[in-house]
Amino acid sequence: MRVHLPTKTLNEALGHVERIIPARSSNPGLSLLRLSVSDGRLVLSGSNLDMDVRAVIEADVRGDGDVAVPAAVLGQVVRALPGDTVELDFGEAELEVTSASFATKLQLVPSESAPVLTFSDAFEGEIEGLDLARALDHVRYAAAIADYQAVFRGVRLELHDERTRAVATDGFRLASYLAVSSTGLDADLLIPARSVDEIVRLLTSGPARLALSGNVLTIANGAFTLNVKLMEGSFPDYERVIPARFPVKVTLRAALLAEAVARVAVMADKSANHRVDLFIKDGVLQITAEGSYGRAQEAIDVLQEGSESEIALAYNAKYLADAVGPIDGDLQMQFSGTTTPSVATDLGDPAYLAMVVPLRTG
Amino acid sequence: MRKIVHVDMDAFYAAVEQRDEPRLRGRPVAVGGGSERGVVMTASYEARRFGIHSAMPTAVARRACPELILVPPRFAAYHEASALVHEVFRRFTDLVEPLALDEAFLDVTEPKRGPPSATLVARAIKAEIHADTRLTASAGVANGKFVAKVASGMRKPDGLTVVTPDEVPAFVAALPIEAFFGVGPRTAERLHALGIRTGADLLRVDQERLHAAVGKLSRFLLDVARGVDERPVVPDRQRKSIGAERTFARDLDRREALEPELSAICEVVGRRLVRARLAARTVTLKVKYRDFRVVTRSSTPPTPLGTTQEVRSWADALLFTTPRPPGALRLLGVSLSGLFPAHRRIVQPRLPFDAREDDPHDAT
Repeated sequence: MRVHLPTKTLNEALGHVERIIPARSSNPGLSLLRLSVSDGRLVLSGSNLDMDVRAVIEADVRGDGDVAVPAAVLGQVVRALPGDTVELDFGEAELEVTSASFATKLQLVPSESAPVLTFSDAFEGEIEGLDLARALDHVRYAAAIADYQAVFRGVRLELHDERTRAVATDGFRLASYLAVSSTGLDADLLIPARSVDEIVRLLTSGPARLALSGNVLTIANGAFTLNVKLMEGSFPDYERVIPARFPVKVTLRAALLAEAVARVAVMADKSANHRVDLFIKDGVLQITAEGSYGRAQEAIDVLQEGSESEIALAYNAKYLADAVGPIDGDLQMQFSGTTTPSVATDLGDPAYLAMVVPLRTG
Repeated sequence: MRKIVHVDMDAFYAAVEQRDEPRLRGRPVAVGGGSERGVVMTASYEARRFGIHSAMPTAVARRACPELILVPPRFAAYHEASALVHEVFRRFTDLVEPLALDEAFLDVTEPKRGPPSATLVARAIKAEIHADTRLTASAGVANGKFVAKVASGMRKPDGLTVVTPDEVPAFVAALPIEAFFGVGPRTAERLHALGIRTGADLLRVDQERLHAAVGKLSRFLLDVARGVDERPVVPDRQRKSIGAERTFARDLDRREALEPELSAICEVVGRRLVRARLAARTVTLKVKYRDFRVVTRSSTPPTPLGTTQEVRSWADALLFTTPRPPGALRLLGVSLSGLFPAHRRIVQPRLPFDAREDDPHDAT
């Protein structure tokens, strides 16, 4: 069998698939990429156990068959190809890759060694790919890298009538994105944060079709289909902890706050949670930080509202910067008190809400 | 001229046990892990007569002395005794450099009280330690740390050895090379190859060859051999980490079996953290597999760790949430680093997910 296609096409598809396949694994079959050829299509697939991926590429194809190669090796070869097009020629024991004046022969691995993957096509739901990506991308940062509660290492995806919501928290801060588009499914899912990163990278404009079977969510969008293994566990009742009253509110350009925090936080004390202090009074938000290397401060004019005339509190600079990060235009910061959660919202996109607990400084 | 005292408690852990439990007195006692894989931490002098020494596997010790009484360690009691001993030290000087719970250097060049004689000060310290703790200590007195330390080991137990400045050169010259600080079995072998067996041999050998054989250590060895040891007594040595580990009697792989082990280790580590009034930025988990492969993983939580419960939670997360190839574990260890005074710790509070709602109907 033989496949001829643009180098760029192969490179893009392979790049996504290869990132999911582990370069090395205690189970050697897992580091293999399966290449299947039939009906004018080249299909690439692989898995990391938490996620299976399949890319279907329309190409000039002759013959059919099913082989496997080490994904990392083929990836390296294809990334470096010199020509605009590439020819894959599958022999008995070798895959010959030819592009412009370059040629290489890569040893094939019997395709039985690669994992056998099945992708559901019983799609029951559908959502615009970029909408799903936007929702997940807005909240991903708030999931924990390591925590003793597994649910904090996942992103919750709530699929209900008229709304799709992504929520993540590490127990200290929370991010939520509530999109007013429906998928047609009715389910609450918990997706491992690492898998969310790949989903966001893969989704493109166009419908993302969804299928649920057991603890696997299948997402088909463009050339790619993903099986995502879901996590178990009960997500905390987060709506209950969103404060209702905010004695102080400020509105300002999100970028101004993000940049000021970044500048001031250089002086923040690492052993003291990267503490930055905020003091709001008379329409001025003052940020200060003090550590072993010195002290920094910056004042920003803000639109101040609320029943209280001033408030002083402290945050982990990283949490504050993360919360503001996804906001493009104007930001509203709402302070419920010095020790209770603060809320950040995007005035240009009301779907986004971030919540951060101030540091206890007493 | 400096006056340095090295104080070393005699068979410390075992002595505390014999003090607190009359039926152990006069009998061969070893403090150590109870399991088959445990080792002896300290042996009483009665046990030492059977050749039992610290770091010896308990199984071997039992064979050497069938009537050996093996006692599990009670660190709380040792810490308490150690604190009393340190109180005695501080009556005489603030220049105290602890090496372990049972061992410290004191600079008594200008003692806070007592005669300006290091010998008399050392004698007074020994007497007050015994009065306050009913434990004995051995002391060595010299003008440098190295000789003081060697001297304290010369007449154990309850000994006092003074090496006056003019005796130092002969004292060092006669020492076997293995007694020198930094000389382990391998270095000793290399020195033997150069014909060096005693301190005196060090001064006879070509310096270049010595440097080629042992590197940087040669400088220290030559200085000490010449009777020069200017290393200061550094009070309150800054601690870099706090850790504990445990080797299991049988390899463990089930969560139900590992959890209590990890919990017990965290208990020890957490208690030490709290006692030292420190907080830790980073927690590191060490795992040794059946095939002796060692893997470590660390985590730096949003709030530095300040309690046993926090240590346990984060260590637990490291053990049970990181992907772990199948295989039983032989050893688990937990250590805390990035230590700083606990009063500087700022708490990042959690979102109140677990807090109960303020429901007036609940009020009683």
